[in-house]
Amino acid sequence: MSYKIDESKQLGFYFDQTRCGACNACTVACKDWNQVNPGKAAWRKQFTYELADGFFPLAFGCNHCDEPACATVCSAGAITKDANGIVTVNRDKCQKLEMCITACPFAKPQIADDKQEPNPHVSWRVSHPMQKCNFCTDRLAAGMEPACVASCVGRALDFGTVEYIKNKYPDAKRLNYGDFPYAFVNNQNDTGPNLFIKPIAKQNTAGGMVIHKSGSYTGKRQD
Amino acid sequence: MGKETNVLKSLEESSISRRSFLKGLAAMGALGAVAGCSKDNGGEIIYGNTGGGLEGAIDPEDLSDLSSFDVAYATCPHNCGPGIRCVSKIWTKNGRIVRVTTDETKTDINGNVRDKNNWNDPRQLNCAKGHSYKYRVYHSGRLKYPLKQTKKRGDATGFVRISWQQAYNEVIRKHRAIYAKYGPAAIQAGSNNSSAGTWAAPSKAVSPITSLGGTRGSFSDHSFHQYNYCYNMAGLPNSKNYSSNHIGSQIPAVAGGAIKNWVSFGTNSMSTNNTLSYPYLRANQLAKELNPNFKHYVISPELCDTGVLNATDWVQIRNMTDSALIAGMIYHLITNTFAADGSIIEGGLLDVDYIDTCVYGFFDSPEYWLNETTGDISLDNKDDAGWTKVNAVPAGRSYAAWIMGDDPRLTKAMYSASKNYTAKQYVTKGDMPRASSCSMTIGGETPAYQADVNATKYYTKKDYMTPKSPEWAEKITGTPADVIRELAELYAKPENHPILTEWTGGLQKSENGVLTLFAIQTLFAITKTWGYSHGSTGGMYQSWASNPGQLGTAPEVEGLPGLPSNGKVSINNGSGSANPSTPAMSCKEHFNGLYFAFKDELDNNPDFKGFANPFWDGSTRYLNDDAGAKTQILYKREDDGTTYKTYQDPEDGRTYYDYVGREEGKPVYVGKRFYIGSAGTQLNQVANTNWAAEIMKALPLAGNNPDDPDTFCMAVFDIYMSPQAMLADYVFPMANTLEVVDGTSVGGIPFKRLPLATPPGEAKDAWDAAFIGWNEQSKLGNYNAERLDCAVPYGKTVPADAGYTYIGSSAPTYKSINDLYKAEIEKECQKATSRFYGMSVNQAIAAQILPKTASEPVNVTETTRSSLRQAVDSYLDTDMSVPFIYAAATNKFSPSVSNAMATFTTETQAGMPNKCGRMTCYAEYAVYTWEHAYDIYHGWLPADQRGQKNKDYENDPFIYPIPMYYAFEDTFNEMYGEFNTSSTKKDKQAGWYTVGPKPSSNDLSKITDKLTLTVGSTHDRYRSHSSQAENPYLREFTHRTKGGGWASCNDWNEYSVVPEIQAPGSKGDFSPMISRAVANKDMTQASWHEFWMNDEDAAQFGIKDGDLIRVSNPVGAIRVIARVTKRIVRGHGQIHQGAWYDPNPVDHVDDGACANTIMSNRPSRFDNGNSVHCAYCIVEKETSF
Ligand code: SF4
Ligand code: SF4
Repeated sequence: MSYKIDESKQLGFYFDQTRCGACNACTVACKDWNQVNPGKAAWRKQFTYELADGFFPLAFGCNHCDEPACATVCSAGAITKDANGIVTVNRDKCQKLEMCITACPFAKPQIADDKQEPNPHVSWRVSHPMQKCNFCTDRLAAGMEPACVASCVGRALDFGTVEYIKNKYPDAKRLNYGDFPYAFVNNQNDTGPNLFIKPIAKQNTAGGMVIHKSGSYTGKRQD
Repeated sequence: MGKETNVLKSLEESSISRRSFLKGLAAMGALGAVAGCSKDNGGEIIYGNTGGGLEGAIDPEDLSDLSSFDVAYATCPHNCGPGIRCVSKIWTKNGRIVRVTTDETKTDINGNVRDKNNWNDPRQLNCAKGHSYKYRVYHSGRLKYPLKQTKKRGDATGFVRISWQQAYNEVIRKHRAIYAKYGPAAIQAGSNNSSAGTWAAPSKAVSPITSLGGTRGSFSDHSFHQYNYCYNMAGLPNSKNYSSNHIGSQIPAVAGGAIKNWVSFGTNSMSTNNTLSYPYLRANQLAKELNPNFKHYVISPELCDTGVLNATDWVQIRNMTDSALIAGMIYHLITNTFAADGSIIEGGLLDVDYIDTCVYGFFDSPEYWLNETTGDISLDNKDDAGWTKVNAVPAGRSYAAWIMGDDPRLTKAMYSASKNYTAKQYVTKGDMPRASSCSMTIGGETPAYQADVNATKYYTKKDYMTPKSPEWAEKITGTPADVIRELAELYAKPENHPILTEWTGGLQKSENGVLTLFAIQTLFAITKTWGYSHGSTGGMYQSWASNPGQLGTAPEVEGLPGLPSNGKVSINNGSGSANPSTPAMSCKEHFNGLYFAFKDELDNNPDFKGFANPFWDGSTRYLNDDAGAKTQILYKREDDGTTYKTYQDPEDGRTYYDYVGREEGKPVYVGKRFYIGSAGTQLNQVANTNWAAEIMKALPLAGNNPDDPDTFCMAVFDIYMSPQAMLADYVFPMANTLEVVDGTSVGGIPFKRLPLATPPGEAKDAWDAAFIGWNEQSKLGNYNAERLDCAVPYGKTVPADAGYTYIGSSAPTYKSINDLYKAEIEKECQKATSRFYGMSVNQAIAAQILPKTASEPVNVTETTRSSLRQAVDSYLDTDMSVPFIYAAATNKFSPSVSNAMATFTTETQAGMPNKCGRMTCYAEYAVYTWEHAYDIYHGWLPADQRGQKNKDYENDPFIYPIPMYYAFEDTFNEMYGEFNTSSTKKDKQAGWYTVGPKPSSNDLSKITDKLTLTVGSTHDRYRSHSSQAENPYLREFTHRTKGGGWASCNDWNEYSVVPEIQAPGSKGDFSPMISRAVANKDMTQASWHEFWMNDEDAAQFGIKDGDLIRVSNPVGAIRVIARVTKRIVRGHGQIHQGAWYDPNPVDHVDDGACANTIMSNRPSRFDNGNSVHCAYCIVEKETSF
């Protein structure tokens, strides 16, 4: 699979919603690899969202968008997109303007607190510059998969050039508001996220779950 | 974009770090509270620092060069149970663990690329627990020094630092003193531990103390108490051998399409068994692809993660009502088999001839004699050799009679209408109906069909005459009646077979868990869904433990030498008497041993007010129906020291074990007086933590006089100041698994390694610890002690060089196991014939792991039937005019329950009902066993308290032999004292007044003004029981701040015992809290455990997601954050077990939210086990934070 990584082509992630058992191995593997201490900043998070039409597991971090809103709004010029399409923050340049956080539809740029990040670096201008997923650049350089992909217990994750992903997973849908509204926590803008998802079936549709609902019972036996 | 191709480019540009780390370390000091300053007491001796484990952390700048790390394999150091431990790779730098990764091999040893679509992909990938391990090793709560309590149990300010030598010396002296006076039955040695591996597990460190003699025997385990008791209660073939029926072994048949349907009763296999999770879900996907009609019903009050991915149908059901669901199903089957006039419907859903032939007790039946070789049935008395008497299933007492209630159709269904041999024999002396009106009693004597239902307070009894129709079941279970019918037909119709039925621990560990499991087994028996090679065998969750080969094959190559195990020290008996054996009581019973031993001291102690035990008023020292509580006195022995003396009771003429003090009428109350071990088994992992803690706090300290046999002593070996260690007299700091040599296999491949990190302070591995312990034992010399139970004293010879002997060495050369084993590996590397020849030690360790070959998935496309099943089917194809031979051979169908409680007097033994030779719905032998449990030990008791009295509070049987539904309201009314009318100085409802809001009624089923939920406490995937409860990476997934979003917890470094912190106004005489943030009410950091509850229930009572709420009942109260979800049924709530007990000294509410704080320790029905998934609680918004 020579085209899985091509150093001049956009990289992306693949996520199989029918296989994510919500184990959070990827979440921790990401924090552990990237030395993100315990605390609210987590580059990657897993939730099983509850909608009227079903339960939807989703584990994701930054999607290294084609048109990264975070970079566009950052007047400090701290966020850039490189040859692989990886969107990177230069923490030394961050002035904690926090515009990226709200611009990103998915709230993936993160700010730690003193507790989580007790070691400010002298090169930082602010105590807790923005941080986010960097596609495990160091691992890629060493020929390893990103930490999340390598750790995925459900074999739900993959990564590669967008070309590779589209080829290998033709049924996957690019992350979009219509199909995955729960991912869009800040706004519904289409930033061209490079996350491709094989969706889980909705409740009461073909392949989806049927719920046989019980009645109410709050403390009183019904005679 | 796009100038250079090196992906590292962006890394360089991003300037992850500059030389700046020292500034960070300096800032870090301000983080924690100031630890105590004395080096002999205060926080310093426990923690040393409060940097959250960051001290010594590697500068991130030094992390970018991946080649600068040492990467070592390890088995996942987290002991999550049986099965293949996952592969962990530990990245260290300068001796410090930096990262944990897992099996990242992309190809197997043969170069085959890993196939993520193969359910059999053999990579054992770490779960979140494994990846979080760094924070378990480096944590501010790690124990550093041996500690001795000097003030009061539970007061961290009372701990002083002592030497390892002193700690062992005093605990050994205490053990010797207690052992001499009370014998080994007073000693409990904990076997559970949170660290895997021979020399990490505390058992070896404990051995210098306990090796002097035995300990109290126990049976069963906390995980499978009910299962262990009743797995064979219905006598289904194969049910015993659950290891061959476990869910892992079913996967090939699911993936291959042989399994047609899957029913999960409450299981969350994927989360409980990480290594199983991928094969489970992938096989489930394949089954759906192969068979569009494939159904996977998840019948559960919670849609767990396994259900989200795998269920085709989530059947909502209220907690603890599964046996009502099954009754509703069976009613549907009966009414579609028998017409209203009792006639058998052609093509009905049940095979009546089969049931007559193979299942006893479904219908009423006469007393008969069974020929053991021919299977002949005779109603004539054949009390001679070769014939077995089978008791009648009395009129109106069969399972069907209970199910039908006042539905008369089976009273009209006469046996004479059936032509099978069994039915014909039954009527040789006159016809009889298949079931008479339900005749279970109400009020002691009146059969239900004559009784006034208003005469009873039990909902169970009020329902005796109600037909257990799907509509009845719907009222109880909440499950729609149509779904109950659908499930009934699923099981009844052969074209749906085989069905894989899976259940898990949550169905048991409940007050009526035995009845639930029994009901599921009888469902299989009645619907003939047993006897397939796969499916419908009651397969419960289990790991891959027994067939690792399924997940790939490890190359067969030479391994490194075995770890030094140990040199055993033999303590000879000399001229003294031998160790007496001890009666084995239930593992959960040790808990009540404290009250048994120290009742008088406790009752006279004004400080002891923690009697949140409303079903038991404390007027007796034991609970009448406890599994072994009444065996805790000192029995007399012959001169050999072991054989019991017996005597004949002049009143009842039975022969009992004799006991010390019989002549004076003063038995010696042994109970539990000494505990040694680890983990949470004395507190966190037993029901009713408040009660346990209050007892231990009220008893005098062991350390006041180490030679006093009459004080309780708890010595805890742990890696943390866990809640149990907090209550200990002595605390021994242990090394963590990654800090010791280890020999646990990795992903199923044999593996040994050296330590990967250094233990903090004076924490030791078990090798070093045991050496010291044995030396202290030697110094104290031989053991000679008079004993009360035997004329010949103990006389034991302790070798002078026991310490050296134990580690296989000789004085004065001491070598640590680390040095010894390193030398072994070096030797191996120098051996020219070895495959490790020429390697360095680290290379040799790494070379043990060779990627496993992915095995081709062995998919099972069709099931086979067992020979017994084939025999049954062939018989049913005949005219059935001759006896069915297999019903005669009792080894074919042989129902039984655990015989752990079956130690009877000879006279009792003689009255045991005979085996029926068939599968059964009527477990008469189980009721008999229960009624007479342990009675040979009971001579010291008044006659009416020998055995167990099978009477409820209204004088009706407490247990019946059928798998009936026992109303959960009754269960809770029993637990919480509603039925308990004895008047003592203890307030039966005291719990409500001290720990929670007072409800409008004591009858819990009538409370309407508060939200009242059943509460279950299933396993959490982010802990293993109480291990890792302290790990901050994992707490993020289970904890939230008040009002915070999901995963909003950040109590890193707030979660450790902090002696300096006492509640406002405190005089320092109680436990400090574990959570500093909660104690300080620091709402930016304070976090609480999530409590899952239904969205509609929450809306009705004004509770919002993220609200801080209190969950309370007469046993205790916990403070938690509401997780409002559609994934829980109405009327139910879930708190995962294992969180650390952390009672708030101000209002006694457990801020740690240990599930057992709200769990009653009333023993479960039949097995007298633990019912820790079983609470009924008021849930309301918290007002005090
Ligand atoms: S996901 Fe958010 S942070 Fe990542 S590139 Fe897109 S806009 Fe930026
Ligand atoms: S590791 Fe895989 S299965 Fe587990 S939460 Fe992450 S994406 Fe889901």
